Amino acid sequence: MITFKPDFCDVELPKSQYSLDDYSSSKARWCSGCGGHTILNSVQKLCKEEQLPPEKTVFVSGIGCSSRFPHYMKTYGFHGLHGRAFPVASGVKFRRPDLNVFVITGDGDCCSIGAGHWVHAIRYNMNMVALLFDNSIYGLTKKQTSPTSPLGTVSNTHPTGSILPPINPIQATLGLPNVSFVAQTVDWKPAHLHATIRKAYEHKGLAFVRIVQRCPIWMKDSYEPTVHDPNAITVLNHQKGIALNEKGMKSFRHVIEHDPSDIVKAREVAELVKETTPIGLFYQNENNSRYDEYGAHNLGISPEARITAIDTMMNRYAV
Amino acid sequence: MKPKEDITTPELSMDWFVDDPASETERKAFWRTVRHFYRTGEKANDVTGKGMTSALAKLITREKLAYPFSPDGDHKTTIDLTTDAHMRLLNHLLSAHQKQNRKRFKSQLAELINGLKELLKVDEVDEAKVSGLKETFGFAEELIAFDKLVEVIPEKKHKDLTKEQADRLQSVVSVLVSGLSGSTDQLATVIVPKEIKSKLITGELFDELLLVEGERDVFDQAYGLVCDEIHAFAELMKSERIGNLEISGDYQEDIHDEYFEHFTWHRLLEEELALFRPVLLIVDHNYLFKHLSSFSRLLASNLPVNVIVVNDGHISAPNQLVSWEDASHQFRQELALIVMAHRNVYLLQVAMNDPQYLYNGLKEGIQSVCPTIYHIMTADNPDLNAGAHLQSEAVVAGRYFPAIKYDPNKTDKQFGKFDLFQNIQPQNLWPKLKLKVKTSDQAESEIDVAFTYADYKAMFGAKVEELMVIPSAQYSEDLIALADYLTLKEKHLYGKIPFIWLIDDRNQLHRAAVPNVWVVSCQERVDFWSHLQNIAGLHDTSEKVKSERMVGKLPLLTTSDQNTNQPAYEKMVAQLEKKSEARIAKIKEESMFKASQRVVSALLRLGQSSDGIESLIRSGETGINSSEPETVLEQKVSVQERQTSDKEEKVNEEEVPVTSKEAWVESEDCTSCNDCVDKYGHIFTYNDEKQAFIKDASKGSYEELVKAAENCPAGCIHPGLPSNPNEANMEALLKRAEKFN
Repeated sequence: MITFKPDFCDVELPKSQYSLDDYSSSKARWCSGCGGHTILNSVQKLCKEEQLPPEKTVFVSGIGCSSRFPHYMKTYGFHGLHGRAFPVASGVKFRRPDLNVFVITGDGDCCSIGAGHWVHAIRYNMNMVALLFDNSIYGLTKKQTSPTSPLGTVSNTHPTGSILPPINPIQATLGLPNVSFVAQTVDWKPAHLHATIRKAYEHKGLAFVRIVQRCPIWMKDSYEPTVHDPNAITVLNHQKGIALNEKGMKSFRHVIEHDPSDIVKAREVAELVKETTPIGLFYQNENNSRYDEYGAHNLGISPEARITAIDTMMNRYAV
Repeated sequence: MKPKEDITTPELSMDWFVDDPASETERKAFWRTVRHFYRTGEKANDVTGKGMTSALAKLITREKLAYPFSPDGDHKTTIDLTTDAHMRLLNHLLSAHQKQNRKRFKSQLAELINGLKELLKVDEVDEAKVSGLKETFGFAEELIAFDKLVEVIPEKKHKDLTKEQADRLQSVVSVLVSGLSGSTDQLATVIVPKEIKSKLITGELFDELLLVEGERDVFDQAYGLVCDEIHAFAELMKSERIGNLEISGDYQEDIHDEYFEHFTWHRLLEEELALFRPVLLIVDHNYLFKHLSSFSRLLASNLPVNVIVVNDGHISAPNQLVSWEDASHQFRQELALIVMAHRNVYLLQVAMNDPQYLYNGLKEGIQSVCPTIYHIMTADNPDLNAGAHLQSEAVVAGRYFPAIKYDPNKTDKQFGKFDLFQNIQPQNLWPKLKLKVKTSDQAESEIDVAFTYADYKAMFGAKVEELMVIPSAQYSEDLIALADYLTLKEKHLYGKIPFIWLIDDRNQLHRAAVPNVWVVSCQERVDFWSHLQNIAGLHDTSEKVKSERMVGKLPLLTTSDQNTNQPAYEKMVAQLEKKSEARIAKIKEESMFKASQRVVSALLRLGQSSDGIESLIRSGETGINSSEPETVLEQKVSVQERQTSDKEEKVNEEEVPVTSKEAWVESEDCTSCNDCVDKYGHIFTYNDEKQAFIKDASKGSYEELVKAAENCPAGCIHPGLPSNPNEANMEALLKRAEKFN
């Protein structure tokens, strides 16, 4: 009798079908040393690990340094209008819930011109990942104050230093209704960055990640101390939070316990921004309503069926 | 089996009586004729090697003759070395082994069919029971669910079959039944081109096989035939798999339906393909080269087909006019290389000298799942002075027809796929032998000789006449052995005449000059052999290649032997691996020892020299080349600080912490920010994970390394110590580098 090998029916596709190169398009034109490179690499790694089909993945961006991101991904992408990354992405997700949608936005794009869309995107809570590349400056136009620039930032618009306190994007997001995922990370800790993006990808709902990003050209002096000071970062640790291995944890000196299911506590922790750079998961709630689910309920209905439905509705009012 | 390189030279002693040298004038005149002979091959009749033969040929026979050969070792069937010995070996192999195979296959099918019918029968009985119950309790039809009742009646019952399952079983059974009844008793199909059939197959052979006379192009014909047969076979095997899954209750429609819908023969397992009725083609090499394109197409199809190419192109083949090695200096087409160019093909190129090797090779090839080519040099030659077996040994030893086995499935290691160990002394260009001679003063001595292609050629009576025997009185320094002649550089060749050793019927040795035509053909042969050595890694002496080659050197165990002698086989492989590991470990240990010696000597020099820090830096140059950062063996290093104020050397020993001497990057922590690779691309590069590492620190300055470390946001660049201590501002640079090391 012939004996069968246990895997003779194994018709699954090979495990690693897409490589890193399959997600890399042209060479990124950000400045050398820019944190954008790190984020790009981390996102490409995630795509590879999850084997996301490039034809089922969309990156939508607005305008700014960060918003060049879709050009560097060999997937679908939309380099859109200033501040309009969220509405375009929401539109894509609304009618194509099968796609993996990533929103790439910067501090100007999201917190300034696009602030209105940001608010409603958080409320819509569609299943997407939103990465806020926050370098606290308008870099593409050569140094103007952005809504997140620290108080006193000297720039072309404020030669004697900015006079208004910056927006805290974490606190602002946590204050919005139906918020479901808020996390913060920094680009110069690649392990934490990757773990955060992964956690965001796995979240069901809109995952909002603020990435504190270095700008080596315009904000070098502002970031240098934070990057090289081991005391400058505080890690939010919890079993439901961002998972780091032992070696990864060892590289941080300050770790506090924070339960991401407690929104009141999350708002308290968000205030820490004034003293330190807290990184980790602030808040997560997967039970919130999702607008994309609502939008998907009538997908797949044929045009004829729609016409019939409308006719039926109209006939009710026929005299 | 004894490896060929261990061949023992028989205790043969030959006479070599040398006359006194002739006079100078005589010699001059004679050597003019020799040189003329070398260029043109023309000579006087009284100096031919007529009646002589190659002296070295006698040295290459093994002690024990391999014939008569008993394929199964039980002496029930014995095969003598005749012209068609290879055909009889093949016939025996197919009859004995395929018979068992077919029998096993049929009983397997029959057993499965019975099992499946049993399943179907159970189902039918259930149906019958329901209708039986209905008849009996028909009055209560509205109250009783008969189909449910059947389930609770305690009966021996296998399981329920759904309609789809029953249909599937029915179709499986019908395929299996037709497969079983349709299978013929013929053990294999043999296709022979019509025009050369009488030449290739003589006598009563292959009576249990289906012998087909090929009409036009047998390769195309075989392609069509194998395609048809293997598709039918795949259908059968598919049914068998489904049947087995059904019997064991493992058939899952959601997985298997889709899988079996696209089932082709490529999905068959090795042991399944082993049951496929072999298709063999028998052709000769002339026929093959006339139909090379269709032959290549057949190989590229990867169908399990066996092609036997019979080569009778001995030197003295009757068709002298087209013999490749005549004055036109053509290159012989090497079938082995053409076949290997297809990469997926099992190749066996053998002469008839070792029937056991051939038999095992045939067996292995027929069981193999890839296309298989056997290139066989036939034995026997009426023109040959020596025996047929000796000729078969010589054809291999002279590198005219090297024994090659190339099995693409044997191992995934490149060099393990080759087996050239059937050739005598495979690591040498020509086999080296010792010629024992008795000289005129009754003294015995030994001469180192090499068995070349010319020696093989000189075994043929017709060919040996082409040589010019040099009388011993005319010996000169210009007369050099052919093997040595072939290795000489062109500028040293002038005036030299190559010779080989001949022996006459009175056991007297002679030196015979070889014409240029022979030299060219020897060169052509040795070039091919050298190419084979290269592709089989025989010239590479690195340990990795050696250990890969060990696989090829394993004694000949066929697949079936491996199954029966599995523990012994595994033990042998384990031993070989252990041996190779031990060798590699030894080499590592030696290099570690050398490296630590270098470090110690560097430190000692440091202790004696005056320029403390610089010599520490320089010692880095003599250190080990390692990709990992190398830390100095000692925990602390004593460093003499240079005191330059007064020229007196003032020793001030200070303890400094150990740092890596070489620059390195903690790639894991790299943020891929492009800073180092953009600015210092000559030093840094990315790995597959797009994280930086140092490709070559020597390409840049120490200053660049320090700058890169300073700019790195992750702080993962460590500049180490400078390789060039004379760089400008070194003191300042070292200070800047300190916090990154």
